[in-house]
Amino acid sequence: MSRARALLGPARALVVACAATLALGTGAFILQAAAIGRPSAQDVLAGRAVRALLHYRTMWSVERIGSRPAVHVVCRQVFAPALFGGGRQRRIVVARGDGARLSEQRGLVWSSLQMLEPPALRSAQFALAGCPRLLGAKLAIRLTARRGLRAFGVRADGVPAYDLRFDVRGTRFDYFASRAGLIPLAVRVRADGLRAFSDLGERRDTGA
Amino acid sequence: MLDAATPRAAHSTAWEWLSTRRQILTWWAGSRALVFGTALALELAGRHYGLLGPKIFHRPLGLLGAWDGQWYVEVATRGYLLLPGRQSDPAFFPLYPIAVKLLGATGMPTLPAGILISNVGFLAALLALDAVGRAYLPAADARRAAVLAAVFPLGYVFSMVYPESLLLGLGLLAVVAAQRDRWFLAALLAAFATLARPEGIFFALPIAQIAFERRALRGGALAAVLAAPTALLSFPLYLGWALGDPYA
Repeated sequence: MSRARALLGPARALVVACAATLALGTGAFILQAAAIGRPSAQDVLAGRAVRALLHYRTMWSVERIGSRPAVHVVCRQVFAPALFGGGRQRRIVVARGDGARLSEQRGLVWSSLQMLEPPALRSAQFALAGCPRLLGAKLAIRLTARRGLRAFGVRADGVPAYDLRFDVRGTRFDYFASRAGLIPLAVRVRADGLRAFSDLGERRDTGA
Repeated sequence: MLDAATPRAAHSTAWEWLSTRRQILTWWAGSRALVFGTALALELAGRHYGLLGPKIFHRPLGLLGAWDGQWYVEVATRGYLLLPGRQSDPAFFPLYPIAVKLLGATGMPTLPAGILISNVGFLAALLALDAVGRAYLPAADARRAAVLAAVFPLGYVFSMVYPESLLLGLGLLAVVAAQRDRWFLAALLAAFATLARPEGIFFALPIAQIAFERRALRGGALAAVLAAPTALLSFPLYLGWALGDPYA
């Protein structure tokens, strides 16, 4: 009898410990789920779009700005010598079919665009070219603050797509990505005196 | 006669308890006044740049809610969201934002709510440190340890909108509960400590040591040891449910 009791003691302790631990774990999960919840479907979608953009290093596009002729544009993310100090850093280079070139490294922008271009176009040029890192950064800033970003279900280039819309200082950006795989499709930029649209074509490769 | 005497006795005991810890309360208040004074002085001094940029000082005592504090407030107000390849908030454990959110539900803005939780949590941590110390040291030495913790140079983080004070307070209270054989309470507190910061899991070690010393082969003692790892496990499970990625 006493031997049975001696065996029963640890078994009972183990059962109590397991039950208490399970209750604690469940309680901890419920506390987090009830108090913090989960992000909205719109925020999750935008997060996935940012993630999808990370896969791209080079983006080709055909830009149409107002009534001007279409221009072929390529945006590349490369590693280049640092502007200050040694080593190499990420650089974003946009080359346009009309001969203009732009580059960005650590927030410093160099552009050969005519100063007569509308300011909204000059500031939107990287996004319009579909530069994945900068476009992703614009989306991420708005997502982190959970404001200024809306998602719509649309059709773009004849395929079901999402339109992620945000505004930057009076300029409205629409980034279109396919519903299947969130492949970048197009960017639209609208501001006072500016209507621009670019069809994007991507390629996944190695680089910066 | 008994009815009249009992509250008086309780009052006297509480007064005695407080007066023996007056030194800790004084050093806590003094060191916190120094932290608040320094934050206000930096705010008034101007010349805000670099890590102490103007964004930090746009509201009174904004310095105490700077850097990681902004992420905790973000989680408290908007919840978690994963942004792969970028800084995002699942790196910050949930208990502190939950506490800020709960206090914020009373109408208190998030910054004062966070500062209040941190500073009260730090006082609780100092008193708990004193209680833990008294089990192993003379009372004067235990008190000295708590006073030294109050004036620890990097202790300004215990006044910021960071979960460090909550972690320390809850973890030490878990150890006190274990010392007093209140194992289920110890389990609960250790779990909360781990939900404040992952380092809370290390409080399982002193709790296990206490259980081992006392030959406490009881379900409660075992649960108190397992509570911290279980709470730690619950966070990735929650992230998996909320964000679809347990490793977020």
